[in-house]
Parts: sequence; structure tokens; C-alpha cells
Amino acid sequence: MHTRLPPVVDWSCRLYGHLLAILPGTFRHEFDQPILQAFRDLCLAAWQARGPLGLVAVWMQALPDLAEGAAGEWRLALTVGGNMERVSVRTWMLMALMASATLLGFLTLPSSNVTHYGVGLLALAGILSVAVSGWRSRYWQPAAATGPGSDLAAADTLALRLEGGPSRIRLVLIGLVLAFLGLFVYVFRVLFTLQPSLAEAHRLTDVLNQIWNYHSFNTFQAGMVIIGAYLGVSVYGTRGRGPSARPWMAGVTAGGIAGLAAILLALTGQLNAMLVVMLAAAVLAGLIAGGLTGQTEAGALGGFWCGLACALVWATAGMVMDLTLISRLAGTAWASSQVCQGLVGAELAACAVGNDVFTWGKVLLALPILSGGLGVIGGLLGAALTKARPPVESKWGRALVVPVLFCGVMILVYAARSLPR
Amino acid sequence: MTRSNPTALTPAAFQILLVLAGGERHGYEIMVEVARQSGDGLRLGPTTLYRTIRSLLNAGLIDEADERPDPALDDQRRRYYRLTPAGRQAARAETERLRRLVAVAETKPLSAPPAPESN
Repeated sequence: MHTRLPPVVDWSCRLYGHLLAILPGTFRHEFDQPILQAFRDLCLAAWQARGPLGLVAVWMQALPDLAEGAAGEWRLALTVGGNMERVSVRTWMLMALMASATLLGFLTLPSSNVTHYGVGLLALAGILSVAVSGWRSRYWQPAAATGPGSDLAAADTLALRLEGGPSRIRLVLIGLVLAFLGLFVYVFRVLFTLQPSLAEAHRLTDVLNQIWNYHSFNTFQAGMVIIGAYLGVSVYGTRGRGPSARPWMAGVTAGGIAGLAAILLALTGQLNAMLVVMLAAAVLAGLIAGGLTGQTEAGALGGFWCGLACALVWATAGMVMDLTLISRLAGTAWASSQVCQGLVGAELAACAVGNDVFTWGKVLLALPILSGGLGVIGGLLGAALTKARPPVESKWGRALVVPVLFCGVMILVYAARSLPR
Repeated sequence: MTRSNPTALTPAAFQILLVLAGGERHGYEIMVEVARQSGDGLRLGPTTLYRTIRSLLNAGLIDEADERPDPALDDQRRRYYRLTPAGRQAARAETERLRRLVAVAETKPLSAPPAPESN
């Protein structure tokens, strides 16, 4: 029996329905409809008995009740596990905090030792978050609730709407990596031309041997390994469709946009704003991924892919700018660079481009891993605020294999670069 | 749902169990009945109601009724709850605990006027 509600009561219920978003996701998924139904009954009875005053009285009771209930549920979820056993929130928050703290150290402290340790900790935090995400989602996922409407929620309507989207985004990503590869090789060719002595140290015949010999593991070899890893993760990590495609699609899209915004900000000299955009994008990607899937784990993946795409776009655009403006820049900002002080002409250009390559390398190395940790924060929020129900069987385990391997390669590169020569 | 005393139920939980002792009820009916039987002393909001119901469900003191009323008479989306044998036993135990408490209270001079203050 469905009663037609008076408009005021109807709007009142709609507003209350939106306010229910402050409850933790798992409790809300289970009880939002019954709570709303009870509120609707209360409103209707109060309206019929006392009119607007009755409605005000209901709200006077419902608001504190909702606030107290939300506080209690969140406290339960965050301190005890409560109704959120599915995800260990404390684990995620610790990892995200760790990633954020190490990022702060990485960005603000110029000491090379601190930077190295910062990147190492970042890498560790990111890879742990991604690995634990896979472990928990694969083995700790309880059976989904089979209440009324759960069959409807399982229907992947979003995936149907996005049919064809994954292929295009995947192609763009792979194309971007290949473009970066071409530019990277070209940059080194330019560097060799500008500074012939460099060419002696970078004979291609020696590259493979030198990769395994960390004493000679230099920027060029490190760059080639990083690009190889980027190509691998772009080809093999983006094959998922349906729900498992959501994190990487959201991440790559957000990362691409953030990368472009970062370039614009860098061009206008707003470097702090650029960093904020890069980091906020990871949280946003995590939020979208968590919101689309209803799972915090997807946030780590969303953040990871966001960082990967953002770093790639940023580095590629930076290379294009360096190559395009190389002759002009040599007479401007580069000349005042502390790193290349005292150099002029071709040597200055080679030093400055090489310095930029080193910076891109660091960003390419660290940003995806760091963003995985930051994405967890967004994933937490997204999963908490969404109305999407978690799928019956999580696919994240498989979706995580390639990113985890990628993180492993990045850590090896970092270790090889950091070891004493 | 339970406090430091493992046998004690919260007032809200006990009231809900008492309501369900009279038969299956949905959320709004429980709220109305709780307000009525407590003489408006306890008004449960929707969130508190379902938080308590969740606790009672987890403790196995109530469960959700499978049977739904005639759709012509009621909204099919409503959830109905009923008392389990464990819930009935818990309600009896709580009643007995409160009865003993009342018996103790009745032996105390609660209605006596306060002693005059000495200067």
C-alpha cells in the first residue's frame, strides 16, 4: 500500500534521505531504507495530527538522533571494527597517514638522505597498501547481503553505460607511454649531442649489462626500466572490464586531467598549487573509485592509476617543453639554476635537461605508489558516502597483481639508484 | 546492547523486546509502541531504533519475519521483526532483574524527607 505523501512531507523525507549519507556505508546500506521508511511514517503521522508544528517536532527529534547515531556508528567502525569488518579502517588510515607524512618529508626536506628514505618509505607505504588491499579483498570478503534489491544492485548498469570507454582510455595510456619513450630516447640523443662525453657513458650495447650492475646504473638505464614498467602496467593492468575497470578508469581520467592542470600551474610558476593538484587528484580518484564500487580497496587502485597517469602526462609535457624551448631556456631561468651554476651554452642546456630528466624520473618512480596510499583516503570517503553496494565477489585481487609488480620494479629501481656507487 | 552487566539490556533494547513480545512489528509500530508503553518517557528516533535493532539481530534476540502482510494492506518494503526464544528469555531475565531492583528500592527510605542540615 503506497500512500501519496503531501509535498512538504515528501521534501522532508528527501532531505532526511540525503542526510543519512553521514552514516557509515555498511550500516547505511543495510538500514537506510527502513530508517527512511520509519521517518516517513513519523512525518506523515505528525503532519496529519498537528500539521507543520508536528513536522518541526519530528525534525527536532530526528536531527539529534541522527547525529548521535552517526557519531556512535563511526566510533564503532573506526575503533572496534564494528559493522565494517569487511575493511580494516585502521590499517588503511595508518597507511594513508604514513604515505602523507613521508610525502611531506620528501617534498619539504632537501637533504638527499632524507629524500631517499622518504621515497623508500613512500614506496613501502604504497606497496603495502596495494598488497594488503588485494589480500583483504580477496580472502576476507564476506558474502554480500542478499536482501531485497541486492540482485538489482549487482547488475552492472554503469559498466553497460561505459561500454567502449575502457578500450579508448587504455589506448590513450599506452600511446602516452610510447610517446614518452620516444621523447626520452630523443632527449638523451640531444644530450649526447650537446655534451659528447655523455655518449661514451651510454653506449646501448652496454645498457643491458649495466642494468644488472648497480655501480653503473645511471639515469638512462633507470629511465628505460621505468618506462618498461609503465608500458607493462599500461598493457597488462588495464584489461579489466566491468566493475574491476572502474578504479583504473577513474584514476587514469583524473590523473590525466590533473597532469594537464599541473603543467599549466607549473608554467605560471605556481609550484605549490601544482603539488596540491597532483595530490588532491589522487584523493579524488580514490573517492570516485570508492564511490563507484562501494569498496575502500578500489580507492588504492584509483589513486595508483591517477598517480601513474598524472606523472606520465606531466613528464611527457615537460619533455616536450624542454625540447621545444631548449635554445631559449638556456638564456633564461636555467642560467640561474643552482645545480648548473657556472655552466654556459651547450653544457648548461645538457645539465638543465639532465636535471629535469632526473626530476621526472623521481616523480615517475614515486607518484603512483604514493598516490595509491592517498587514494585510500578518498576510497574511505567514497565507500562511506556511496549508495553502491559492494559486489558479491571482489575482483580486486586479480586487478592488483600488475600494479603490485610495478611497485616492486619501482622499489628495485630506487634501491639500485640509492646504493653507493 | 548490553552494558558492563552482561545480563542487563539497554532501556531501548528492553523496550523493543517488550513490544515484540506482543507479536511481529515493523519499525514505525515499534517506535509508537515504545513511546506508548513508556508513557512517552522514551522516544526512539529512527536511527537509534535501527541501531538497537541491528544489535538485537546480531545477538540473536530478534529476527526478521519472512512473511509479509497482504500488499493491499501494507507496504511490502517494510521489514517486520519478531522475538526469538533467546530474546524472550533475555526479556524475562531483564524483567526479573528489574523486579529484584524494585524490591531493593522499596526497602529504602526514599520517600522520607531529607535530614535537616546541622549548623
